[in-house]
Amino acid sequence: MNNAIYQPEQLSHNLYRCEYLVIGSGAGGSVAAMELAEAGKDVIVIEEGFHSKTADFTNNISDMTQKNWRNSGVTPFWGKPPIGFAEGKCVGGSTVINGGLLWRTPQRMLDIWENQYGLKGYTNDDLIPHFEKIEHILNVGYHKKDDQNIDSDVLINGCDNLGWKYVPVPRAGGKDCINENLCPTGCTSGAKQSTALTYIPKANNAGAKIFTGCRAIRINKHGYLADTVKIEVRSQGQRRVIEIKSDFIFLSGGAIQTPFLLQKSKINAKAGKKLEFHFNLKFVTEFDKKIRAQDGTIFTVQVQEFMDDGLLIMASNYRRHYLAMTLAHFGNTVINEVMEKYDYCGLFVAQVQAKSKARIISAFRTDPFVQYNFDPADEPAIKDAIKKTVKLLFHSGAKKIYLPILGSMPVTNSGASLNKAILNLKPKDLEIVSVHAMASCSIGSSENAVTDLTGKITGFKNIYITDASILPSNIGESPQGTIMALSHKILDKHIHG
Amino acid sequence: MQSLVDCTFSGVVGYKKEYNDQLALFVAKTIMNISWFFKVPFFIYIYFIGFIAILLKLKPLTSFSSEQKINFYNNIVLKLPFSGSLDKLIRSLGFMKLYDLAAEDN
Repeated sequence: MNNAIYQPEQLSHNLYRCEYLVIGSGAGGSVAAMELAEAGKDVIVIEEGFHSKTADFTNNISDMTQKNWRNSGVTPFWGKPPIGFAEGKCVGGSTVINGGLLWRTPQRMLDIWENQYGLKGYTNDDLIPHFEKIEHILNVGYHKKDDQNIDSDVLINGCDNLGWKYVPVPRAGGKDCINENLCPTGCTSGAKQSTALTYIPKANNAGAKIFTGCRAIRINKHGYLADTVKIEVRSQGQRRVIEIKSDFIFLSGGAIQTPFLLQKSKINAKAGKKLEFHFNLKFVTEFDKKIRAQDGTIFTVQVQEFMDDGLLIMASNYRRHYLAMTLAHFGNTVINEVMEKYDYCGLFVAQVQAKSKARIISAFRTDPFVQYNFDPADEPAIKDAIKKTVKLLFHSGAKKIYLPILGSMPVTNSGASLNKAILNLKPKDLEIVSVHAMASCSIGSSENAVTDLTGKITGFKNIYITDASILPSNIGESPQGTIMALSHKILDKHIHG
Repeated sequence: MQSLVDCTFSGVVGYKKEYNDQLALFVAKTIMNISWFFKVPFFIYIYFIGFIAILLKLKPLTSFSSEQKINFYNNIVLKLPFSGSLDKLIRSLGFMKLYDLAAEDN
């Protein structure tokens, strides 16, 4: 397989030709690469990051983060409060550094997309065959029952006490997970089935070539046709520019990079005018008993009682690194206290389907600048999310909870101390991160859509999008499954008509 | 950067002086890799802090004693506008590296 994965120094020509150029190798790009190559097309995939084999992943979190995350995880969304956004930059994209959650698209979202965004032909029935294919290739399954995921088990107890709904989480390779607890930096056991282990090898076997260390910087166009793509090749501190000429281009650089490239290339004025995302609020929680959250995986159950309201609650990967980073807004005394109780603590996340919207600004040329405005409607939703999460955690046996609020005191019950923290809460004091950005180049037949129902950019004959940017709106759950299913559907239409 | 890292992590259980160079290098290298429109203001800000230290104490921050550094950081730096963002960035990145170094030591 590796013969088909090219290092930057192997790219000796200034011009390459192919039938299909796929830009990006994540959830959407890998689908495009595999489907096109297996249909006998001549395919080149360019990827800005590099390729790692399973044996290359280690438990050195700082090194792995620097190697496989864009900007080592430092990609701010500018606004009040600033939001830290993280995405993968490696062969396989964010599927290498996520939890491998593979949800089918919720029916309520498909209904909204059909009725409000004109997304016809993407019903549940239309997508089921694609989900079945994805689930088969990614070996999607549920975590086997063990006694190492106590942070998820305590949430089950809490839900049982409150009568709240929770569900086991389907994950890529979930059945084979051995709780290495390194999902965010690359699975060292190879259990997690990222697209780098599944779709990309299939694409390679069918003849696709993967060029690594290559970043698309401009699409050159003639009339309604994209002609060549200018690519910056980065190798050992050196940069040079090559060109790839192709009949078709599939853009799969993600919800930020794809509209940035379209803006810079003056392809579509609507691209990146809107970007939607999730808020992740993290709660460090201390329990009376040892839960040793570091021994389990990311999480095995998700609380979906308030899913229709846009709120999901779950555990998260737990290591001293993540614990301290979550508590970075507290002083060193708090961090020392919590580290002393390391085995008794866990890290939990409330994921909120934000109404706030961002936009991508390309004026700085070299990189996208993401600016967002905090929507006042998100304030009550966040307060509600904090209240519900705290309530659940106390019903799960929590003794003390550190809130994602700057300057707040840890709460010891869901009464007065929580109410005080919530009452005084100002949005600018929130500590928010995000790992899901989407909907910056929506598919559909509404006037704001960037692509038509075939995934083709309006006004162009040979540029398609298959990544998170085509989701019509904020989905409210991990989007990998939906990105892949929509990509399969687009490829199916493109190849078979 | 070494001085800022020292100020930030002094007092954290597990932090050792000998980690300082590696933590500072990791933080600086990460900031170097982010977009220029973020890294340029960050580095200007860091130099600005060094300049304030010289103005106030007539000597560079690097020659402050540990206690002086911590006092300067807590009483001056953290009261400057935008210092919260810089502090959070250094702490977040530093913590990521710190526990890898501690694990290697063990």
